[in-house]
Amino acid sequence: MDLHNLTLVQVRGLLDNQQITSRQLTDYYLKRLEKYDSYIHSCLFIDYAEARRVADLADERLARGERGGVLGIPYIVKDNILTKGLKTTAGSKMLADYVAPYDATVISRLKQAGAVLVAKANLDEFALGSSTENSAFGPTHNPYNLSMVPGGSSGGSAAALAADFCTFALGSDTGGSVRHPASLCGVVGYRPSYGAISRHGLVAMASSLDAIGILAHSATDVATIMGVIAGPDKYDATASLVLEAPTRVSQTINWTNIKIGWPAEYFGPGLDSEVADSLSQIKNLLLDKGATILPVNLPLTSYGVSAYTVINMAEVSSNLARFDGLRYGHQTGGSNLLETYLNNRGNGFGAEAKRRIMLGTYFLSAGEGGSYYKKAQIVRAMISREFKEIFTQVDYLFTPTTPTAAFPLGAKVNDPLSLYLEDSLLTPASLAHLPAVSIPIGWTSANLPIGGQIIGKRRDDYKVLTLAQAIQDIIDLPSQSLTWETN
Amino acid sequence: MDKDIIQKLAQLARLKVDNNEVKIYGRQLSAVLHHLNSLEQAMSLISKYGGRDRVGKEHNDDINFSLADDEVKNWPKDEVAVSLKAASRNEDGFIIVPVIKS
Repeated sequence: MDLHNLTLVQVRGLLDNQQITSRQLTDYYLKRLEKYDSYIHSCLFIDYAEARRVADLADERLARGERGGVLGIPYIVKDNILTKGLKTTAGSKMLADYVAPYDATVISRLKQAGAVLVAKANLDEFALGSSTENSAFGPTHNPYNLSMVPGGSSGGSAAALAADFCTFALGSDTGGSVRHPASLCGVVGYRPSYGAISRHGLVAMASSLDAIGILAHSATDVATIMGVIAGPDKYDATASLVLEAPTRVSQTINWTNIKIGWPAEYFGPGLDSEVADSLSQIKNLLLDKGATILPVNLPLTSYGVSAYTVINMAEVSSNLARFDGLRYGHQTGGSNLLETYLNNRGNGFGAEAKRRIMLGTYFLSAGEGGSYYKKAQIVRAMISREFKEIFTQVDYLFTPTTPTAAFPLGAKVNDPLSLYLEDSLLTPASLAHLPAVSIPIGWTSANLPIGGQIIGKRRDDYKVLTLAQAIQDIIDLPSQSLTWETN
Repeated sequence: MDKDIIQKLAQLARLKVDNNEVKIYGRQLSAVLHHLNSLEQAMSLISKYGGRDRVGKEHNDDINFSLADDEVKNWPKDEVAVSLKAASRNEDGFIIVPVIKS
């Protein structure tokens, strides 16, 4: 049986109809990981024995007649999400040997539902980056071209899914860290409305922006996983949203009722012509279907990345202050307490973490707050208001996910500003706490994936996913071969 | 950002950085700060339209949310005295805590 690149819905059918066991499926992915991950370096740890044990338990539940959800489905999780008894490094030397004493809420919910965790995925250190080159354990490569980046910071999760090492993956999205690698690796990447998925057990980076997100082969798959992991959590006071899940996401859409905004500011001069062409083709397809597409304006969009940068770094410097190497974390030591702090943190953090901690410290310093932090908060509030107003005219926004397709490894590693600008089309939805999903919409002439982003109203997560699936169905994008598979 | 600012920030953030790093971060962080000056343009754009939405309704509550004024102030002496008194040990105005790492 060909198990290659199956969606969760397809795998669900095979498991429920007893055409395959969870153990067989898990072994399929484990063998691929063992054979091919040396090319990609998508994962940091593979838990062979535990994955097989959990798969066997899932098979017992299936044999007793349990069906549906994520029972018996293998997945991979970004290594900044806590997994009890298994290392959680956050891609940092600082936490190289840290073993979490408890599971994140999303992990305990998936465990209860019978999903099979096979590996922990690589990431930019503490999720700080857009290329997965900032990992203390080496970069991840794009499965469609090994000399290119997979995007980031959830690059390991996206690359693992694109390389067919799992049925779905979890990542985290602060300023685009799920949508960005999803776009560059040709998979679906979804950021929920802030508060829809508990952050309990996610290593904190910028708490007012952090969200756990889902990577899958289809928007319907994402909705299925949402059904398991979303919802209020007593361990996270910000996880308060209750979303009404439809009975099925792949319902038929009445296109004449769909109003989509096409924001001019997302199609600026930096947009690659092949990305622009793909978006144009989607626009024509949607018009042919009968959807209404309105040109709209969001003038503050271009300032989103600046506001995001200030708020992100301020919160990063606060959140990462806890890593001092005394209670846990990397220890170098010193002759007195101050020297111990300086050495532990100086040697434990990588360059990007240091840059953000220092800039965040600067923004929060007495006398500097007014000139950066306060302005950034005002711009954030006004960006939220712009979205609110636009959503009185349209129900969704359609934009490119990234201005370009994947870029070469090393190309931007010494130019942090150019990496921050990679997220320019993604940060506005993050700042406004809106649901957004990136779906694959085309291929460049160099066979690299192109992504399109759908942004919706807060709490309209399932509507966004329904539209995303409908667009995926219309496009019916052909897959591309993975050259290293033949080696 | 010059060498002195980078070194001061690193000290405040409890990060050891060597001279080579100071040079690199100075250049990189200056470039980022230069870009962030665009926030000034955003503020001009916002003030141009004021707190009004498209139908002219005022929404100043969105903008003037409660952030304290950014002023450098010494901690009130009476509060410091209360904290020192409550500590089990103090010396020269600092609270002495047990050694947690030898």
